[in-house]
Amino acid sequence: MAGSTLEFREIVEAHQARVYSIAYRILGDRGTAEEVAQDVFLELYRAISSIASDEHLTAWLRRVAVHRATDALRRRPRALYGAAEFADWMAKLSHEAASFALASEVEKLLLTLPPTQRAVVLLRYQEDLAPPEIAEVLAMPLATVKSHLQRALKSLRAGAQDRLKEYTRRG
Amino acid sequence: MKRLSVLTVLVWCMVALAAAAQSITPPFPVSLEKELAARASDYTEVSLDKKMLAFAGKFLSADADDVEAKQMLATLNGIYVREYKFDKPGQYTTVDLEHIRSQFNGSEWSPMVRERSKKGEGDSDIYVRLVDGKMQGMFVLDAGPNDLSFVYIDGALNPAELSKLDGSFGIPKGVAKRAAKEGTK
Amino acid sequence: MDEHEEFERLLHRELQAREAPAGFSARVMALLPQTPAAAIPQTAPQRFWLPALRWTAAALALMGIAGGGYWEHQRMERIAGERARGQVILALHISAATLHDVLHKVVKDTKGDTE
Repeated sequence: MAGSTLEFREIVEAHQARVYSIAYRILGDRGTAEEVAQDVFLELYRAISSIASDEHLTAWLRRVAVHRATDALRRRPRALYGAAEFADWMAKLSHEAASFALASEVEKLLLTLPPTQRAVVLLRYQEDLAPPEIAEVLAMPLATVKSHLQRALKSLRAGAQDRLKEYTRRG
Repeated sequence: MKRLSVLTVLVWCMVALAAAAQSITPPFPVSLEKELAARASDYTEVSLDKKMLAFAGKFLSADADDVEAKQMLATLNGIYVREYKFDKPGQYTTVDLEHIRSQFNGSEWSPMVRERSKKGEGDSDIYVRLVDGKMQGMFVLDAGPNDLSFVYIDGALNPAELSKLDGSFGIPKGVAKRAAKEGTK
Repeated sequence: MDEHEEFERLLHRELQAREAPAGFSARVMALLPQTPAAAIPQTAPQRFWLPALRWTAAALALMGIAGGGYWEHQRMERIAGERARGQVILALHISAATLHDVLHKVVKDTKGDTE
């Protein structure tokens, strides 16, 4: 029993950064991200006997983390649904974000994307998955993944030109 | 007499088929589509009539996105989407856009949005088809310097439901960009 | 390296997984149920049901040969249906995104006019 618990703890420690990062970057909220990440590992604990290999474990964690985080996002009250309300929120956030490290600026840009596009970007650039692998994780047609990725990059580049001028050639 | 009856039936069938074919053809010029596709570095064309929507609906799953999609499809007769990306500006003209807009000058169509950018960021239009005061169709045109998108949806729809399919916080680049600029003042 | 590649490298760099909050694993372990879970397998789980599955597969194969035409039709229909589903999802996604882009241009320009 102790051996199982120790091994499970090792699994948590090996994958906590991945799971937490996916949750945080989809939700934009540290507290909820930690709750979601904990739920993912609790679900893993219940399902552990069905995990066949390390690769299976990683794929399982990616898939469940994305789904739990986007579910949590959908359950939120839609206080920010209107464009005008969001613009106000982003303006306030921009003031607060002035002293943040650059990585947080990219994460804030990520939050301007719809949740599915965020998930696709994370699986591509955080998890280094190719589009067909992303399609498998998200159970989504490949053409849709490519469309999401294309739109996301376009939006991020437009946002980056305003906020990350030192990281683009022009500006 | 019998031969004439068979011939009449055949002619009526052909007329009916032609009418049905017309009803599923999207209302923008086919020749322009081909030209745009030829000029584009990348393009997406999707045409789904009622039959295809019903067929596809059988294969939508029980997850949240598919359930929302299935609810939308129930009242639609067709969805036609064209997206074109160009390597450089100037691959379509204002005359091209006017030609497309002219398809929606009929009495049933009402222009709801008409945006003309002075800064070269592109034009946007939304037309809706109203029948007895209810929305029975929508046409969206979004034109940028290097891209062009058309969406034609035939059938009863709620745009708020449609926009939900792009995510709960679907924040397009325009809003985020403007907000970011405000934040740096 | 063109701008697009440079931007992608930026994203790769800036989106490296961030550390979980301090004490995260301890908090997860504290939430685990008191009764232990099944032992964590070191190898693939025992597939004791595999022989039965083999016989079932063989029987299904025989049925498949006998009803080959029917199954093939079903398979082709399934492939066509999945493809159609993909097209629908793509069309709805592009429609929603295009509508969003246009409507928010309106909001942006309206706010600009009133300021």
